[in-house]
Amino acid sequence: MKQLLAGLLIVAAVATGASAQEEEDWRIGALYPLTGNLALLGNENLNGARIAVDMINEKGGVDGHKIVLVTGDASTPDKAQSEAERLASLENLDVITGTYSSGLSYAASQVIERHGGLYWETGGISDGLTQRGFKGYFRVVFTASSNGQLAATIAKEIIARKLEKQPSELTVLIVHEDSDYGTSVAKAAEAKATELGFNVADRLPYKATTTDLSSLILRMKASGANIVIASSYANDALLIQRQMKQLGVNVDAFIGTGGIYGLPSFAEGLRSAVNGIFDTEGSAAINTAALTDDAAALLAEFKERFEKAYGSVPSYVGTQGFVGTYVLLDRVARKAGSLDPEALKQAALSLDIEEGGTPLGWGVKFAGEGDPMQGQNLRAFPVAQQWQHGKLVVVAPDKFKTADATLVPLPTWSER
Amino acid sequence: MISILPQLIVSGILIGGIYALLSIGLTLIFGVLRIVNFAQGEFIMLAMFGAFWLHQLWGIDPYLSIFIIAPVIFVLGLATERIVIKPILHAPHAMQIFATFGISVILQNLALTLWGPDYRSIQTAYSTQSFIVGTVAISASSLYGFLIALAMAGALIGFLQFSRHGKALRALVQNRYAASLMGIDTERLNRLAFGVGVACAAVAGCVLTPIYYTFPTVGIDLIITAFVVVVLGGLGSVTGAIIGGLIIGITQTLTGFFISVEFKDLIALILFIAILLIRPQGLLGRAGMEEVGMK
Amino acid sequence: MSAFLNDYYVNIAVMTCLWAALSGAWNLMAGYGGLVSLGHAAFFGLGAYVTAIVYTKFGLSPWFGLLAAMLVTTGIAVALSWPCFRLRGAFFSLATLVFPIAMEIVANNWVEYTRGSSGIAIPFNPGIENFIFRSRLAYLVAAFILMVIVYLITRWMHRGKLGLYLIAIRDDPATAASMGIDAVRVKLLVTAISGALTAAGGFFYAQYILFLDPPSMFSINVSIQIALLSIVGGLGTPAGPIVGSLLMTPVDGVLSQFLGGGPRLLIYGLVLLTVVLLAPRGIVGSIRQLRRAR
Repeated sequence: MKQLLAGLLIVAAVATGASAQEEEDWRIGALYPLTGNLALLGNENLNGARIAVDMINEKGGVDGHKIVLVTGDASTPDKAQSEAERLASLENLDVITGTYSSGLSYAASQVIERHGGLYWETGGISDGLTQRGFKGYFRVVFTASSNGQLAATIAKEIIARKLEKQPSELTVLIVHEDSDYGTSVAKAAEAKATELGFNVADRLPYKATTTDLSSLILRMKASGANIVIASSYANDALLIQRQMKQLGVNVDAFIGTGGIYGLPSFAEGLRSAVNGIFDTEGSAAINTAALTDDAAALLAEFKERFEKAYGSVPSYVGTQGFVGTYVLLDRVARKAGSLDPEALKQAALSLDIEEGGTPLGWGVKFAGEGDPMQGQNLRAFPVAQQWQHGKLVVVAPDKFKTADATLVPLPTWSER
Repeated sequence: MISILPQLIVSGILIGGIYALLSIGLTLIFGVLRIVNFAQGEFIMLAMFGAFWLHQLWGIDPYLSIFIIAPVIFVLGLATERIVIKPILHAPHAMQIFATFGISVILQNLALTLWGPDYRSIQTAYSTQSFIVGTVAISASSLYGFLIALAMAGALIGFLQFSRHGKALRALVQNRYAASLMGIDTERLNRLAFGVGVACAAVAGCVLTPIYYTFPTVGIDLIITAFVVVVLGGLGSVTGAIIGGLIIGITQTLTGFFISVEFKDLIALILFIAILLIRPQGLLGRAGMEEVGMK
Repeated sequence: MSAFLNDYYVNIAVMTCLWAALSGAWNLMAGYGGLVSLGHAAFFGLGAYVTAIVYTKFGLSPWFGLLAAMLVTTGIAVALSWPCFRLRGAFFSLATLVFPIAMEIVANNWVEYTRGSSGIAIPFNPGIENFIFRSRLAYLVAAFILMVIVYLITRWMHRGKLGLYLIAIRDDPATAASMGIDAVRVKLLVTAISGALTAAGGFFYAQYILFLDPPSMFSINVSIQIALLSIVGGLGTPAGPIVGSLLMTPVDGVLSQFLGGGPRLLIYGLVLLTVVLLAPRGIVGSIRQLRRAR
């Protein structure tokens, strides 16, 4: 029935093609940190969203309405709320997507919630964002704790198994930069690793802006860690690897939890030594056989367009921007038939996409009112990837994997 | 635990060498012009981008590119001095701080506009190489950085001791007024000092390119430690910058290992405040240096 | 008319008043006492954090939070700055630069009270007793009052004995001492006033933005922004911070509306540099000078 309806709509759209051109544009806000030290991934997140808008527009927009993104630069929480206010009351936008960083999302979504608008989060992963009981806050992406838990889980399911050891025979060390992102992922990983029976040596926070991590690496050496789980920001990730090599610290496995660990610049900085390192986050490289045909086609088109537009393979951050925005436009806005926030919220809550229905493999089903995680997409999940031959491949869960994990235990540095 | 001590000390010394390298230009500029150059980190950043592109486009080794980039940044420094620094030499120091801070904002965002926010890195054979001496590993890139810092400090000290310009500069540092009475062209020397100071930053930038990522805001991360080092060693003292760098490097590595990695930055700050209070002129600074201010 | 009451413009006006007040508090120390602090983010963040902790952790009205914020911040400002008074010129600035960095590390680690790196989100419960308002106009009134209070205190100082003492100490400490001025006492007094007012600004920020986390509260950029407005407007003049904020805060807003990314801050930096080079006394100072020259 739904498909029939959609078909009719398309027919109607084609039939009224000429007049559709004259339909008013639909404008939605896009708030990302475009300057400052979050600029790199903020821009990447936005670039993904832009591709979604382009694709929708080229296919005739939503109900004949062309979509226009109005961007705002949210580089600090103070700017984030100010830009959110600008988009909401000066540009009169009811729908805002964003924000890449959780701190910025906290500040900006307060403003939109007060305006009764819809805040569509396609990046911030702090668990607390969807624990505020906001009615107009929807998060498509998975939470920080699910990512940390996955890191600990693959330590058991993949690494311990390959090493042919019990978790209790293995020592895990968790290192992380001390921002919200690093801390919440690392704490979840620590709790899960303990629960799984690993011997957790320590959880070591550090400042991401630090210029030297030799003391961290030497503690890693002293702890005798077999498995290291790391949440890093940028330079710190490069320093950890290079200083591990220089100080001759070898581990059986190294798991990064997204961010820099999934970016091409990480591989560029390490060359062949990157191979074997795990990375937990979403992935644009998942096995498309597990996706619906539509989702697989969408993913292929997105990748092609992204590479053409920005000259690089989309990272996870770019892909989540795309997927989030595409779901908003193609599924929610189309169903609501307008950009009225109340209609959009209803449409979002009634959304029921099975696993495999979006290009990242996720389904979409938002936790409803009264749920402690109101507005969270319950069907979003991270996957485990591994760098193999200079590229990221998905190694777990089984359904989405494209290759088996290799290089466990990691060869010593001299052999990498 | 004790067996790791030699490694900790060596690692501390090596990072201390990097800190010294970051600080030498800063201390020179302060010594002569009495200005804290808040844009020093951005000159380092520019040099890093320079070394990155030279390596990327023509495969020039970053250490070789010092000979291309340092002169370019030197000229940029001369221009900056002429346009920005000279007019504010006698302004209240709030103005001086914000003039150099203005340069820093401009350079950072110029880099962001031109090259985007990506993290760029180059990998050379020595990027991750290390020499093993007994149980101690010595990082090649840090060792070279350390040696370059020493060579640069030696060259600067030699220049200040023996060359005509150098002597004039020292006279200027001791007593600007008397120096100008003696017919020393203070304006030209100021410009020279600023140019050489930022050229030192350029050298540091080239040395850091094989170690760190290059991106528009990298200068901020690097420069805070340099402030600490310079104040500790004594603003204006080149030898002080080396000693200050080593002290901070070793202290940080030891606290990082024995107490907490996160507190290693805090310890540097505590040391910094302590030095300012106990011996505000720094270890090797001349007494009264910190009080000269505008006069 | 109604276009001007648009929430966005009201928000810009609120921020203009808030930054003017914060910068005015800084100006007391820097403009009159020559104590160019680069650490005011520490006092600002502390004020905001104390407010938020009192409200969310102890469930007391933010009005108590305001009182607590001002007391705690004044105490810490005095304790931190006192030893630094012996440092002059750029050395004082460099020392103060590290206050916020240290505070950030503390805020990140004292999780029990500060909730660490995840920050504190203050629930939106409008009401005068919570100092949370549905209308941005109410915030504007409050921010305006804060700005006027700072202005009046500055004027009182500008005209009064305290200001004269401070200027005397700034310009010629030896003579000031020989006249019997207790330099340390005067500096402490102005630091206390400046710290308390900055904390009040932090209190306002917390109840207005309703979210605070260590990296944004204790950011060097906050310290710089606070100082910058006085520099542009006119250091050591009561109206300077207000004029500076009136110019720069809306300019920043307009720039982010029309220019994204790097170019915005590039222009911001150029404006700063131009003012410093062409009008080193700031706008107010330059106008005054022109008048005198006639």
